[in-house]
Amino acid sequence: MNEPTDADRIRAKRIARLQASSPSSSKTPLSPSPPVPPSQVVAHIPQPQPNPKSPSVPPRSSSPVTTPNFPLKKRSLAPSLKVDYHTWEHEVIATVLKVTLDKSTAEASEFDVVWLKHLQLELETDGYPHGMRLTSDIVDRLLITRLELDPQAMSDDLEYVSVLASLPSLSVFEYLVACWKRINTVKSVLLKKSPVAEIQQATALLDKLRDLIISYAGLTLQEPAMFPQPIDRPITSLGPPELRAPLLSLSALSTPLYSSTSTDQSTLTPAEVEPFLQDLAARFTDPDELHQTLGNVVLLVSSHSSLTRPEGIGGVGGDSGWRAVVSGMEALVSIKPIAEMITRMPAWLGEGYGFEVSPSDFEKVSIMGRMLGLGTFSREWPAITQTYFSDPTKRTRADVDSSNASLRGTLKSLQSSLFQIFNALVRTSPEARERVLEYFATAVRLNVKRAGMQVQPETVATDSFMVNLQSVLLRFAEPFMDARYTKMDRIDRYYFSVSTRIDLKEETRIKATSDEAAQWVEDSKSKAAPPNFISDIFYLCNALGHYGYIRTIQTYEDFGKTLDDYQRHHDMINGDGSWMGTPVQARMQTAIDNVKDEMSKIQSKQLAYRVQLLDPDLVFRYIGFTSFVSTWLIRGVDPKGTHPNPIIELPLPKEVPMTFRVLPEFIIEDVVEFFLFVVRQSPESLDLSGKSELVIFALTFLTSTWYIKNPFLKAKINEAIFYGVLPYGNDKHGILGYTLNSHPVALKHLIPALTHFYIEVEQTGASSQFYDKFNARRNIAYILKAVWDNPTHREALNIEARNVDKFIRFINLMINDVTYLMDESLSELTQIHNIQSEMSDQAAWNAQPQQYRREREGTLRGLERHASGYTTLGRSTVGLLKDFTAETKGPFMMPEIVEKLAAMLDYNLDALVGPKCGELKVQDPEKYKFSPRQLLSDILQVYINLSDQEEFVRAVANDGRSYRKELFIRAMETARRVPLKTEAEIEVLKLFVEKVEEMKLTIEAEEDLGEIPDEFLDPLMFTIMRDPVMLPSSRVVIDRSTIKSHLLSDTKDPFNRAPLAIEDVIPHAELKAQIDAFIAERRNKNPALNRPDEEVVKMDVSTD
Amino acid sequence: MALKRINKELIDLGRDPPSSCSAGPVGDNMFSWQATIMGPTDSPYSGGVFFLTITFPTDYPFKPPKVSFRTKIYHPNINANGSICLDILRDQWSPALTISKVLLSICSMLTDPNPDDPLVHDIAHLYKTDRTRYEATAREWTRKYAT
Repeated sequence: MNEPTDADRIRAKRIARLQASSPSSSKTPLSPSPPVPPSQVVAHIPQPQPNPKSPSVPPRSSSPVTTPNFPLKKRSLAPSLKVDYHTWEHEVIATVLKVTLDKSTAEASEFDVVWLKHLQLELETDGYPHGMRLTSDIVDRLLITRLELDPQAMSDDLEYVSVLASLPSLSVFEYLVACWKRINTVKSVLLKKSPVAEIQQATALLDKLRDLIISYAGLTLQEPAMFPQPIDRPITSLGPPELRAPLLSLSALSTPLYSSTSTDQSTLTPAEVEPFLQDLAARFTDPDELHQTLGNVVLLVSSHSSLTRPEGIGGVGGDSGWRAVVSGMEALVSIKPIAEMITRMPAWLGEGYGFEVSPSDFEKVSIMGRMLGLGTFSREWPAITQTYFSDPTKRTRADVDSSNASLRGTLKSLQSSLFQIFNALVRTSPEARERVLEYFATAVRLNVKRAGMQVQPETVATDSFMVNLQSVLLRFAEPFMDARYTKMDRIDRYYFSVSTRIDLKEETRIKATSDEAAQWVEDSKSKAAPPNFISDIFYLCNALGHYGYIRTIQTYEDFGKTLDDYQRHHDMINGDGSWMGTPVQARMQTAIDNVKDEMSKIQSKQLAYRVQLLDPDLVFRYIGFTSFVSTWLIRGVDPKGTHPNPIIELPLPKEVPMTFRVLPEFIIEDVVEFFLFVVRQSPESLDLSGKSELVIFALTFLTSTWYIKNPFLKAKINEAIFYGVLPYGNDKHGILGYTLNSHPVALKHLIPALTHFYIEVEQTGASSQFYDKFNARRNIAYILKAVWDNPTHREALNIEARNVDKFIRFINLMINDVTYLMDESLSELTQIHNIQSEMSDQAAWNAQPQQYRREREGTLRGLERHASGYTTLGRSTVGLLKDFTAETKGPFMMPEIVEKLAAMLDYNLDALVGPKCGELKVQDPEKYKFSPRQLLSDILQVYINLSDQEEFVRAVANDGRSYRKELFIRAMETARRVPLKTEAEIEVLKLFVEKVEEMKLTIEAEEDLGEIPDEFLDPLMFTIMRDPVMLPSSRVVIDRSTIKSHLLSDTKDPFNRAPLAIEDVIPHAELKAQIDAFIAERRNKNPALNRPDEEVVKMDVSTD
Repeated sequence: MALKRINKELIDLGRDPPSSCSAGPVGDNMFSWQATIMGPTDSPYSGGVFFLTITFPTDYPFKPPKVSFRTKIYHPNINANGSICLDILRDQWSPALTISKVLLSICSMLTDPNPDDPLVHDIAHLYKTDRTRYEATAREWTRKYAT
């Protein structure tokens, strides 16, 4: 390995340095804080306990350590109360170093005590006055001479050959450890029994000895080849590995990785490790020197192979080497200078390896990386998935639960130790704290790609690493997340204008362009304080969640989608099973088995992921954090800046604060993602806390949607509430049902939020808006249904209806949806009916070519997939309409609403009871969630609800398309027969039809105006304009009622798609006058037109 | 109601028919039409005659008509059911559009499919990767089903 010349040079240099520093340090205290007496230190160590059981693993068999004479010496020392100091000094030095200048002593001990013949001669020459007595003055010479003895050295001095031959087969480090241990023994005797009067002098001697021994121990850790070592020990096993061994034997819960019996006099016991490290740290105060001494030890511990064994934390039978590593690390960081040193090592951030650390390497080469990388996720720990969760379908619930409990227990202890380590490091010094934060920031920075859509898992950090690091950060966040949010304002809202720790360059902001964000940084630099620890942890925890925990949740959810795909594939192959007993059976069976096998693998992975992702400890902590973040976000937009004391007033002000707009979107996104995840996957976790925070958060941003740009994000907020009202356990209305029905914020703002959002999703700007809106509205309808029994919410709807313009838009969209959805679902049902009847004629069907049949079957399957979605949506929207028209009728009577409502109701009535209703008869209507009776009942109820409204009667009468008296007669027959309605209700319907018929006569008489000039006709409806207006940008003249109707669904000019509001249209008085005159003239020719009608009457006044 | 509007469109179609399409009500129901499109000459659908059904929703013209192919056609934006993926028939509808304009848009879609917003992914993929094979299949289907 080392060239001898090099080794010699290093050795010479080090000895020179040591000798230069040694005398001075023995005169003055070694360091500003002298080492704590070992006895006290021992008392302070709680964790390392000696291994209780005597392990079966034998100590290093090659080097039996025998110390036959030592106890004798000890005995000779201990009982003699008050001996002469010089005698004591001599004895102590001899005992500790096991050396003598006296050949006969060595002989008497059978050369266990080493005779330093050459030194004896040297001393004689130098005129050493004390003969063979050992004194403090020569301890350094004694030690170095002892260390330089080389058992392999050739000696022609026969007298000395036996000395060399009898040298114990100890490495330098072992010898020094043995010495160090003997000092401790002597010291405790000295303190307890005071064998000499000169206590001070005696202590000084022991300190000097200790200092010397620790110095050389440090040197041998730095350079194990400095002194002769036993020939049978490879140099790579000496030095740092020798200190690693005891460090890895500290955990009471693991079999020591390098065990030795507690009687081994040259090995540090668990209780001795810490004082020994203390002594080293106290001796090597220069940070660089400490690094040279212990740097490699740290690396050997932190990169120990037990962390990368396939079984990881899932080792069965208590063999969990990783615990040894973690305990070793805990011991190291418990000593401040060492902790400080660790954070200063290049390897702390994975540097110094001569290459730029890649995201996936970071956890392999950074000091804490391997420990953070322990976990249960399948990709990096496949053996755990295999051991605990293989054959998932055969495993019982209890089996899975017990695996979960055991693995989570292990994770909890791992994560708590990891936090202990980081916490110790953070508390070491401001510089160390900075380096720890830099570690977190590096983990974030390197893993930005993890949030990407198409990330290659091999190129980024593992899920285990990220999730464990998250748990550490969550623990750091805990102290500032008190229940009353007293420390919330310590989080600097201008953080991103001064801190570059988290790079936001590529990140989307909540509502700001990157230019606006850059400008904001410029403008607000002066307002920001230097980043404080709380802010750092808060923002890092958010960012880490985004690239870590939340991303892993997504990976987990993707398994579900893949599983669905396989299921569909399976069903497709399986088909109707008609391949059974045919020649292809074997091939089909193989294909099916393959799919099942793949599915089983995914299910195993899901279980393995759930262990860590749904670990109640982690989920609970993250709920706490997410609640805190959501509250913090709201406080940031609260004009008073005090939310939740008192709670925010909604809706929020129009102006969105810049500090909020420039925040990375992921902060708010992850709040939503996580709430959604918990509500769906682990609703019971919200039993304790988080529910009202979730509801307030959702309602804040659903009533004030302009605070968030991303439409999908808003849809997800809505979705979270939806999942929250799905039945769960004993809660008919879900985990959030009670909160939504009792929390004052919900009682006041739920209805406005839902109606506002219902309107908003019509035009989100997303390319998928056409279909997205149905999902969002399905969720809204479901939520409304869940709370509709509550009179406070119904009252809220009435209050909401007072905002006429907005509410009309809302119900207009609702009617649009019913129209579209009913149309789609009924036409799909018709198609299903057609194919089904085709198939039911067996003979004709079988006569069709196979290709044709296969296509029709394919079409049928496609229709079946869609139909249930549309019928469900359609039915729930009709249900809303029924509930709303019972509660508030006025808005439905507005001219731009009532006609389309009537047309839609008539059309669907026609479909349900008209001549073609037979086409809706399908097999298994339940399969498509199709319930024609329920629909008919709901539609009739809407008629009943509105039957006393004059405008409605007129609108139904005006419907030139579907309305026929016969329809109602048939509908009433059905309603009576089933029965769907009471006699009283049927009576109401009957009266209604009579009124409609009467009205029809009136209208027919009015209609005929004869030929109308083109310029009087509405360009979209081709009816005569009553109130012509000009559109500001396209300059098209159109009737006010037409454009008003259009704008309810679409806020753009129909002729050029320019944005348009009803306030912007320009009345065309001149044309209106011409039209009025025209109508008046025609009316004079046709007296029937003089039949009274509100509008006509008004016009008559002007012309009479 | 929309009856006047639909009437007007029918009259305009008769007065000034588009070159390659025609449309009109089936029987006496003004709200249910049938249309034909001649396969554009510069497309693999050339020579084919394609039938479509058109139904007007009750909120026409504020909402788009429902248009679907009755003739089988091999096209990335038209599925086996005859459904058409065309933005003006969804959220890009405007009441200022007419059946005539819709049919013309469908014609131009036959010439220039939009493989980035496909309804049938396999066809879109083939269209993007192997144009010749796509055209051959489309021609074959046209010959088989549309002539």
